[in-house]
Parts: sequence; structure tokens; C-alpha cells
Amino acid sequence: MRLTEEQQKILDGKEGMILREAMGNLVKYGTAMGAEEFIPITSAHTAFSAMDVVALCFPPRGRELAREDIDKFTREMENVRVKVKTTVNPGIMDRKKWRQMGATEAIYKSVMQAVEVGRKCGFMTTYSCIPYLTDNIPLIGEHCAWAESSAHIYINSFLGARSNRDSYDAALYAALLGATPNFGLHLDENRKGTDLIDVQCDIEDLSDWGALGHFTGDRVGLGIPVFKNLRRPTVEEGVQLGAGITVPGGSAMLHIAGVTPEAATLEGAFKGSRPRNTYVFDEAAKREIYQLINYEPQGKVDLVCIGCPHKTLHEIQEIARMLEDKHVAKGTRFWVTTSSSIRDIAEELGYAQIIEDSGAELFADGCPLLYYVNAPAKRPNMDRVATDSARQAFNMRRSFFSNMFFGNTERCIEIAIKGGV
Amino acid sequence: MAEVTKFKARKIVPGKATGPSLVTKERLMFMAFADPKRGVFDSPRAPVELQGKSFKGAVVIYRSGKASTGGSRGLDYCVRAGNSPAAIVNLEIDPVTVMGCSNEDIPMVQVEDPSIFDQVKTGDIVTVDADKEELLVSR
Repeated sequence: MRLTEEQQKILDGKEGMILREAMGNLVKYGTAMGAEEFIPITSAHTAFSAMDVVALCFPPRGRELAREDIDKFTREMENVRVKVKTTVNPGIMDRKKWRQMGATEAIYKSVMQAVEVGRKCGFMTTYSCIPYLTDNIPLIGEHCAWAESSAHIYINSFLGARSNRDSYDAALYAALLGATPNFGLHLDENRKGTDLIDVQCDIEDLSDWGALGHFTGDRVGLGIPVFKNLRRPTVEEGVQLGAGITVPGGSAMLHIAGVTPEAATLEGAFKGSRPRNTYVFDEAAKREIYQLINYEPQGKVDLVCIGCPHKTLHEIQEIARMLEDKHVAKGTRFWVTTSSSIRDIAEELGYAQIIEDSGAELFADGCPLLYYVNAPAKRPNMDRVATDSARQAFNMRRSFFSNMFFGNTERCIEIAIKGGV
Repeated sequence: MAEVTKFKARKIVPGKATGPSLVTKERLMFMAFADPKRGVFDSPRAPVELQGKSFKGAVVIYRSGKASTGGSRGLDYCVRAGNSPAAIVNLEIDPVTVMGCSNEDIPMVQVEDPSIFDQVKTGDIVTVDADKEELLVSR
């Protein structure tokens, strides 16, 4: 890669270990991906949930970190600042209701330390997986370095911003440098569609969009799907489509002919090339996906969780409307997960009160997958779980809940009220 | 003498390594699919033919990475626990996997010939030489 004089100085260690490592690792990454130079970015989105995890992106490598390593790294980190607007993906507990969701004091302290260090370094510790709707909104053509697989699809496809499928470490290094290797989706020629998805059935509620996403990710892998015969999604449906794709696949972009900004027409989405493959999503295909991820539990449901990716303010308004004067069944927990910034507004507007009055719990900063899979929080005895997210249904069933029910939001709320199916 | 088959392999992350192969046609990630401490694929989400198999010191041959952008961290956990794979061979290149390999200096190559899945069986001894851009299989 060609480096500017300033970049070379950083690589030579003139600005300290943290920036040297960030530069060195991005040069290796960029070289592997065929980049010839860096491109300035305007925004980053990474992870910053605990210092012992952030420290893993830096030396020493190849062995477990000792407490001294993490403390030393934390002191060095406090001397650097991000160069661009940087938000942070969900973490391992709710900062306000951590006791209620079973987190330990040790987890609480570790997260709050990351919040403190993050503030000094300029990371906005928003702990949101939908930052593109609230705290970090890139415009068309902006170059970004983002992590979070579902967010890649949203910002590339619906906003027309440009980010590769960067990992958390790649996005963290780029945030500290204000630049990222110029390859892949930063370049016009790599943004054209690769595969055609011909939609031949009705796509109605939120779960249908997630199911279409799952089908698409399974078929196209790392490609860029172009949808034909697909109506304009709502914001929330667009979020579910992207989140569904990145469970079996790893696309970072899609086009919907006549809808998304780089696909004025079907032909335009392919920029003159022919699709590698055409896949038909019809009723039979939809049924197949529902069977794959819809483990309908018999009888009682222990937990209903909706909010993967995080619920938007509008969804929370709707959930509050549906829960008004209703009560969640005894013995069933109902979790709605979102970001702190959205929950704060929901509290101001009275939606949070209605949700909590029904016995449901409005959690922020994470989701059950992160609370219980990635953190040693005490997991309640929950085995039969319902969700409206294709991504969550698939990930959690295959991870630790044996029975997952996947359905639309209204159905999930009904289940919470009845306590079962 | 062992029979040797050669594949053209595009260098992604430099280095050379030899080890028994672990092969799946599926896409996978090391985050959530692998138990770093034991060095085995233990999740029911992992491809069935890999379940319970050790990847420590293995040349892992699969279609591509996928899903979570925490995938590079997954590889890092395995390396820190002393259970690093010897090399990664993919048909398609996922930036998340590349970051994981390049950070940990795990040799990584792209083999575009899908017949590798028929010609290499789990357990065959494979040498990946990223700089020479070749992959050698002996059985």
C-alpha cells in the first residue's frame, strides 16, 4: 500500500503503540484485500463493551491477557482520540437495569469502565445496533468503516453510504486513524449486483422480511443480491431483511430494483453485467425457511424477546399501543430491547411506562444473545422462547434455547399475554 | 511414495504451513461455532461434518466466512488459547476472516477451484504456501 508521509510516521511508531498497531494491522488487512491506498472516512461503528475485550485488538498477542496487560493497555488507550464520529455496538448489559437482567457487579464495573475510557477517547458508547437511525447517520457516498453485519447492509443499500464488511477490530483501527484501506465497496465497480432474487410471493409482515433475508443469505453467500418484484420496505422491514441475510451469509449490500438509491432499474443494479444466478422466493421457499427457524413450542412460553436488531421508536410506540391495559402472563417474561437513546425518548413520551405497566421489560444496550452468550450473567431458566426476529430465532435456537418460535410482532405480543401458544 | 495433488492458491495472508486438513463445503465462522479453549467446533450451528473435530494445527478448508463481524475475534480467542488453526483456505474471501488471519499471522489463501472439496478429504496432509501461491495435498 502507498502511504502518505504522515501515515508512514504513524506506522513507524512516532505517535505511540496504539496508532502504530492500528496502522500496521490495517496495512496488512488492506494489502491482503488488494487496497493500494487509504481513503479518509467520516464515520465509524465498532465495539467498546469492556476494556478486556478492546485490549484483544492490540499486543501482546498469542496468549491470554493478564490483568496487568489490560491495565497497561487502558492507560495507553486513554491518550488517544478517535479521528471521526464513532458509535458503539451493543454490549453485555443494560446500564440502568443490569441487576434486573441478571448481570453481576463485576460486569457492571467493567462496562462502566469502558464507558468512562470511551468518553475520554471520543467513542460514543451508544451500545446500539441501529446507529444509522439515531446517532450515526451517514449520507449517500460517505466512506465509513463499520462493524455489525446487519448495519453494513442498511448503510450501503438504503443510505448509499460505503463500508466494507469490516470486523470490530478493522473498524476500531479506522476510527483511530480516520481512514480505511480503499477496496471493495468503497469502489463503484464493486457495488453492482451479483445474484437475482425473484420474489413471487407476498411479503407482508416483519417476519416475512426476515425469512426472505435468511433465504437470500443462504443462496448468495458473500454476493450482492438484487431483488425483483419486491415492494418498498418500511425502515423496520429493511432492517429485518438485512439482519436475516447475515445469519447464513455475509453480504454487505443489496439492491431492490426501483427502490434503493443505486438501483433505479433492475439493469442499473447489475451495471450491465448478468446475474450469476437467479433464485425464486415463492410460497414453498418461504414455508421452508419458516420450518427451518420456527420451532413452535407447545404450551407455555418462558420468554418473549423482540428487538433484534434493536426496536425503533416507532416500533416501541406500536408495542405500547398493543400492550395498553394488557398484562403479560404470570410466569412469562417479555423483553423488548433497544438502544439507550431510543429508550430515553420512549420514557419521555410515556411509551416505556405503558410497556413496563404491562409487566414487560424495556431493556437497552444489548439483547439476550449478548447478555447470556457473551457474558457470564446469570441466565434465568428459560427454554421456550418466542421472537419476531429471524436472526435471533436462528442464532438463539442453535446456541442455547431449545425451542424457538418465530412470528410477527403482533403474534409475539399475543403469546406474551397468553403465556404460550 | 505419497501421491501429491497441487492447487493454485492466491495469497491473501502470507506464510507457509502444513497440517491435517479439516474440510467442509459450508460457510462458517470461528465466533460462536468454535470452542477456543478446547480447539474444537462444538456448536450445533457449526457444519455437521466438523462437529467435535479439532482445528488446532489444522488447515481448515471451507467455502467462506459469514455472519457476525466478531468472526475475527473468534479466531483471536483460539490463538490466545493455544489452539490456532495452521492455515485457512477459502473459495470466497470474506474481509472479517481476512482481518482475523492477518492480525494473527495465520496463512490464508484463496483456492477458486471447487473440486478441492472432492479432492481433499478431512485428514489429508495439506501444505499451504501463500508466497508460492500453491496448495499441496498428499495422501
